[in-house]
Amino acid sequence: MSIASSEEVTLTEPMHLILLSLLDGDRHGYAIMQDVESITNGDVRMGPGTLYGAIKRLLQAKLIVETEQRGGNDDERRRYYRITVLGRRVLDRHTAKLQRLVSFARRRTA
Amino acid sequence: MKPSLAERLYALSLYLYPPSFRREFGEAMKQAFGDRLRERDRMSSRLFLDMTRDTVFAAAREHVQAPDALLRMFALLMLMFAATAIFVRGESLRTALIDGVVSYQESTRRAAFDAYERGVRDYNASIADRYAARDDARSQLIAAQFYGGDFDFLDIRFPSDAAAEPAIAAHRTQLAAAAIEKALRNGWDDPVVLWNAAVMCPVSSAVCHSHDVLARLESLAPENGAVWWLEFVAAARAKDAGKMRAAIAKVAKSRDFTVYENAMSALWIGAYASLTPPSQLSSVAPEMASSPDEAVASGLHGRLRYLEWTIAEGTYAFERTCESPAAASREDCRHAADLLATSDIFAARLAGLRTLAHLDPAAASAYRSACTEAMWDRTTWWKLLFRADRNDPPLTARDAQRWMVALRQHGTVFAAAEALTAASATPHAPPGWNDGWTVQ
Repeated sequence: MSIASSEEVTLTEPMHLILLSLLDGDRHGYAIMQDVESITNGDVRMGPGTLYGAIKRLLQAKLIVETEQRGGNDDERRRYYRITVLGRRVLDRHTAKLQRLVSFARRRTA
Repeated sequence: MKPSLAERLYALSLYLYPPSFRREFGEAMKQAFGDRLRERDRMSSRLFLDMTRDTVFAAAREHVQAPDALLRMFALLMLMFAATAIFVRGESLRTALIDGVVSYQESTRRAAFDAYERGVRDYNASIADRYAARDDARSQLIAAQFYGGDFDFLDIRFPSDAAAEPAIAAHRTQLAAAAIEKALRNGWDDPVVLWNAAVMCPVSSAVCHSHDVLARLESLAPENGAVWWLEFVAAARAKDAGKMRAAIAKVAKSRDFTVYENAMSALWIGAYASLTPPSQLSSVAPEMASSPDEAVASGLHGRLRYLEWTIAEGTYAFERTCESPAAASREDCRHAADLLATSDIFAARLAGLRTLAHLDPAAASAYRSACTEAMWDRTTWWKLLFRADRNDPPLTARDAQRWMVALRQHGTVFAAAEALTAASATPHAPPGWNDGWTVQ
C-alpha cells in the first residue's frame, strides 16, 4: 500500500471544509475563510495559518490546483484555487466514510 | 497603502513558519490577515487571540513536516505543551494538536506503518478464511469484510492496496463476492444481513444486482431512512435518474433532519447536487433544478445535524484506539485525528494519550492505565473472545459466565450481548457456557 497515494488521503476537518467551499467555484484564500465560517454558522473560524497549511496539503495531494484567475480589482497577491476531479472523488469517499461511521455509531449506541 | 501596526506584527509572526512555507504562502497569508482586519475594522482582542493561536499551532504543524530533525523536535515539544493545554483550553485546540502529531508520526514511522499494515492484511485474511468456512449469513458477512481488509464489522473498507498488489486484491475481491453471495442466500430474511450486503455492493455489483437486494430490503423494512439512503446511493452509482428521483421524493416527504437517516440522505443528495453541473440537474432531479441552492443548503443542514452525532463518533475512536493497544497504526492515528476534530474531550484524552504513547514509550503506561480504567468492558470482551477463539488457556464455562455476569453488572449490556454472540460462534466456546443468556 502506498501511503502517499492521493486516493487515500485522509481529510482533516479544515481540508474537508475547504473542499466543500470550492465545490461552489474557484475561490481565493480569504473567500474560503469567509465561506467556511458561513457554512458552519460561525463554529469554525479558520486563520490564515490553518487555511494555507491545509491548502498546501491539498495541493500536494492534487485535490486542488491553483488557477490563473485574478479578479479585476483584486490584489495581485490573491491566489485562487479550484477543486480537481480527484478532489471531488476523495470528498465523495470521505462523505461516504463519515456516513458509515455514523451508521456504526448509531447502531452501537441505539 | 501603508500597512497598519497589526499587519506589520502579523508579517513578523510569519517568521515562525518554516522558510519554504513562508516563501510559498507568506504573501497570501498577509493578504488574508489584512482582509480579515479590514472586515472587523479594527484589531479586536478576539482577533488577536485567534491569530496568535492559529500562528502557534499552524507553525508547529508545518515544522513537524520540515526535514530538519531539530526543528521537528522543537515542534514536538510544542505539541506536548499543547497536549497539556488541551485539557485546559478545550476543544478548539484539538484539531491543530492531533493533526500535528499525525504529521510527525507519518514523517518518521513510514516503514513501521507499512510493516504493520502488511501484518494486519495477513491477519485479516486468516480471520476471513475461518469465517468463510462457516455457513451462517453473518459469518459470511464478516468474512467478506475481512477479505475487504478491515477489522471492524461495519466500518467497511475495500482492498486499498489494489495498485500495489493487484493480483492479491483481485483475489480477495473475488472471495468477498463469494462470501456476499453466500450471505444473501442464507440471510434472505434478515434485514441486517441485507443492509450490510447492500453496503458492500461495490465489491460485487453483479451479485447484488442478481439478488435485487434493495427491493427485498424495502419489502422487509418499508419507510426506513437507511433503506432510502441505500436506494439513492445505488441509483446514483448506476446513474439511473428515474430511481434517483424516486429516492429523492421519499426523502423529501420528511424534512425532519433530526432523524439521522434523513439528515444523511439530505447531505448525500445535497453533495450530489453540488457536484452536478446545473445543466445536467434537470435530467437527473427536477426538484433540485428548481432550487439547487436549497438542495445544497439541505445537505449542509444535514451535515450540521450530523455533527450532533460526533459524541458517538468520539466513542468509536475511543474504542478503536483502545481495543488493540499493541497495534499502534497510522490508520488508527489518522482515524483518531479525524474524529477528534469533533468528538468529546474524553475520547480526545484517550486517543491523544495513545498517540503520545506511540511516539514516546514512557507515555505508554499512562495510556495503558487509562485504557484499563475506561475500557474495562471492552477489554473483558476481547479477553473472553480471544480465549474462546484460541482456547489458550482453555476457557471454562464458569470463567465465561463469570465474565458475562461482570459485563452485565458493569452496565454494559450491549457489550455482554455482543460478547455472547461473538463467543458463541467461536470454535472453542465451552458447551453450556451461555446457558440462561439470550440476545434480544
